[in-house]
Amino acid sequence: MHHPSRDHIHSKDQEIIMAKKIPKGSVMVLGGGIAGIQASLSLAGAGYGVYLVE
Amino acid sequence: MIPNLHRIYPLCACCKLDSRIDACNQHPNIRILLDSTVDEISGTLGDMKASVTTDGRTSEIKAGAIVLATGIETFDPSGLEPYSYGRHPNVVTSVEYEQMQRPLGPEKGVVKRPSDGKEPRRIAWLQCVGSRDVNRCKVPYCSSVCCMYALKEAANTRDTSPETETTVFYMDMRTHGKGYENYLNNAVSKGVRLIRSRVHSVNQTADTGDVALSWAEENGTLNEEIFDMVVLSVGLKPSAQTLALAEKIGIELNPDHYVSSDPFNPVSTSVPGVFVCGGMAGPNDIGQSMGQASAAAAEIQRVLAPAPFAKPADYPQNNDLKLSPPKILVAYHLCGGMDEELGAEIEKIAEGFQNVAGVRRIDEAAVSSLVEAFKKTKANRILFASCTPSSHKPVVEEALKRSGVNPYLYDTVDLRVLDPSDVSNQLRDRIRMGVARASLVSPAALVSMKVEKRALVVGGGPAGLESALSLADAGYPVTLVERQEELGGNARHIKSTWQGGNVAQYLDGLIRKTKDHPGITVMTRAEVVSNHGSCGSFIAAVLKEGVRSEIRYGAGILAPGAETIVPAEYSYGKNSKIYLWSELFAKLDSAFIGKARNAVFIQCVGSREPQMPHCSNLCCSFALRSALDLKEQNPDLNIYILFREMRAFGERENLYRAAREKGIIFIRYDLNSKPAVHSAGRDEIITVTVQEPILGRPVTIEADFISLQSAIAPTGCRETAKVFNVELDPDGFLAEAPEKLRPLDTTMKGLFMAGLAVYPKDITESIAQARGAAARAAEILAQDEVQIGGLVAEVNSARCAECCTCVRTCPFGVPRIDYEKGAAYIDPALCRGCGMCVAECPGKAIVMSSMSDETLNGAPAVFFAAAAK
Repeated sequence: MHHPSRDHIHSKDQEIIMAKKIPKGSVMVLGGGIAGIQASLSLAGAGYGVYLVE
Repeated sequence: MIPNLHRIYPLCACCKLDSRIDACNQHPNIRILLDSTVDEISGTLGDMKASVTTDGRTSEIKAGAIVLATGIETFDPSGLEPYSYGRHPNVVTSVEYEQMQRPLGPEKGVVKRPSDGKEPRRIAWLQCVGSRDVNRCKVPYCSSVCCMYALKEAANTRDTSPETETTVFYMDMRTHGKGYENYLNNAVSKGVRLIRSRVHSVNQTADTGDVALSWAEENGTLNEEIFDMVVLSVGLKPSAQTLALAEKIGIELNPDHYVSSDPFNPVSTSVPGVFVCGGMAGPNDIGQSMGQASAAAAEIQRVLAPAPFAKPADYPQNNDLKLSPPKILVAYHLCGGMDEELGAEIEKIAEGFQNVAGVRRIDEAAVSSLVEAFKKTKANRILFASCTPSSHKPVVEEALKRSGVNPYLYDTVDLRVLDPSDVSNQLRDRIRMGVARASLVSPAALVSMKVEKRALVVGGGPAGLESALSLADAGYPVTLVERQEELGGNARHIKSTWQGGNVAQYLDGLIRKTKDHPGITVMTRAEVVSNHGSCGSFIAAVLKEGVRSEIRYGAGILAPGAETIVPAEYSYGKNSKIYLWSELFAKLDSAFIGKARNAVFIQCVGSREPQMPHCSNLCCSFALRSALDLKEQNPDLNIYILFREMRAFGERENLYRAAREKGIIFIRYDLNSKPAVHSAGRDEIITVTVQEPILGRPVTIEADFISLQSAIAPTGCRETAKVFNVELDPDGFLAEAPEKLRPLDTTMKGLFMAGLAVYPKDITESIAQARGAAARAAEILAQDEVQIGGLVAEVNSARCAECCTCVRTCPFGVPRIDYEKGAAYIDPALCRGCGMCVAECPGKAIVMSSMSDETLNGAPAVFFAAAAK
């Protein structure tokens, strides 16, 4: 399955914005109802590793 | 909670969730830990640790951030004596009633009352059980969702059994969301009876099993009526688990036991790195919960760079698979509560076909089960049967992709449409027809397109500004287009949020951050005049002060806002002290407030009337907040709020209670006896006369000033919808995507929406929506390529006579004539696959792989051959 992360930089202006220092990590989602599922899918779609705990 | 519901407004619940659970199960970047409890959480943003116990074993998980999405539970009415729940078998909760209503459940959707199995003919719903009740159950807030679900249950009951009388006993009918007022009107037209009342008690009648209900009307008259069954509309509360968890993490809770948050940062908590969404954030409906969930994802993208578990993998290519003769894998999925017998019947019918390679029931891990079954049975196409197959399409397409074949080599059978009185025959015919169609389906063409890594945001109000900032902070360049010279939109007219947050201060900061952000290009006095392309690769033409420029972008957010109407009633414009809500605080000075004696607020000015049926949502909270603020400035001021329904939904109920305690006077009026406002001239005395329903006679107030809560109208939506080729809802606001549970998606893939243009709402909800829409857009911008095509119409140039029939027929305006080619051209990225041009083309030059003439001509032969067997 193809799930590219944002590591792949495409344009000059994006490079500038991405240069800011923020920590890197995966995300833990607590709760597997509709909100938890939606949050997990949104995060995984944006390239995060997600632990979904139910 | 959702799996316990029979339907969510307006459709059934389970499959909407199933496909998403599957998507989580199958995602290489999501690890699911079931039956797990969190014992402890420590650390700070970017470096957090959680100790999690699964099946008795404890492990430590490191994560950069945490999302709290542990949900709600419903109020247990056993302790409330007057309702007789638990003592009278025919008093059930709304959740129990939903279970009875499931059409493919054990009772086939026929509601039978627990005491004797008799079909109830008179059912009563009692609202606010475990809500808005400080004395008996210590739940001061309104649960916000119960009015809608009671209407849903009652209307569905009327649909399936028209002879059953349904009555809803309520205090205020709170239908404040998108399209909710229409749903209410529709329920009433279906014969759902509504009685404004306070229920006194629910009593057993002598051994018949019937329930005697005694209730007081608004004017105090006592009544009693006998019902076959009573449904308690139980409220929402944070689950016990949630509260325990909040304590462990040290998250601050508000007095209602929900996670407290800043009105301008609705998904953030008191602990940095921990975010909240859904039922733990407040009594939210499903759409709000989903918006917040995406908003939490957006907030995390601002402060944490993504660390994926898995590298993206490409799909395999299976070039050895032969498509003929057709070999079909028949797969089916039964939702919880569906009759198990259906499965056996499907298997029996499908096994009768020569070209069926195998039949499989698909439960958990749908994609990998399908891939495995596809391989094992050596099939070359799939027929998928389920309740609402449209929600399973992504699962089937993903399975085909992973099997290395064209993702459109499948067809579906809808099990929900089966008439419960004739299931066997209908099932047989539908499976047969499905097999016939599946055997004739041919692979559809697919094109890959590079994603343009830029977002377009339309609108410079809080929703537009928030989504632009959110995307830019996450690393995507944004162009923001605003029609007016100033940024800020309607928020410029508001002094404080209903929670008391300072709007002007917030807005100043927001505008400054947007203007200063290196990733955001702001274009004011500018308008998008045309838009082309599709998800991942759009081109918008922007006109700014006569100069036209082009913006290429991958995903867009539409937040064009809405406007307050200017009423032609209540003497507006004829007296200098009659204001619209949007001008009240700009025009009132404190010296005047200090010496004023009487103030009148009139609600529903132009809203909830035949020509504009929607509820404008925020006016009740505005009136309550403003009245409380005025009362603080001048405690001697008498304030009268003239309302039709006091829609202080959710935790806004606390304001309503505070307002009553402060002596603010509430007078309810009906649409057929609106208040009358008189003044002899611009600076003369104003008198307001209104029929007082409790006293039953008119009351006249001499008002120093009036605030008219005029309706919020979707003025700009029509133009936006035309330019971006998106649809509007019946009230004229931007419509949601037809797939349910996509509250932030417009009907055009790749374009999302937020703010007042979606439906009227307060700033806090607009912010959550805007950030949520940003996260949805980021999901597209994070990809390098998108695939387009599939189930779309294609033109065979050799056969095309350029007659323009398709150009005239297409409801979406997609086909155009390519003069160089000498034929019509249908952009595969824009085609919605409705098939109308295919049907209308006189030269049969347009084809759709799923609905070719070969399919239509060939299917009956396959169908009847099977029938003859």
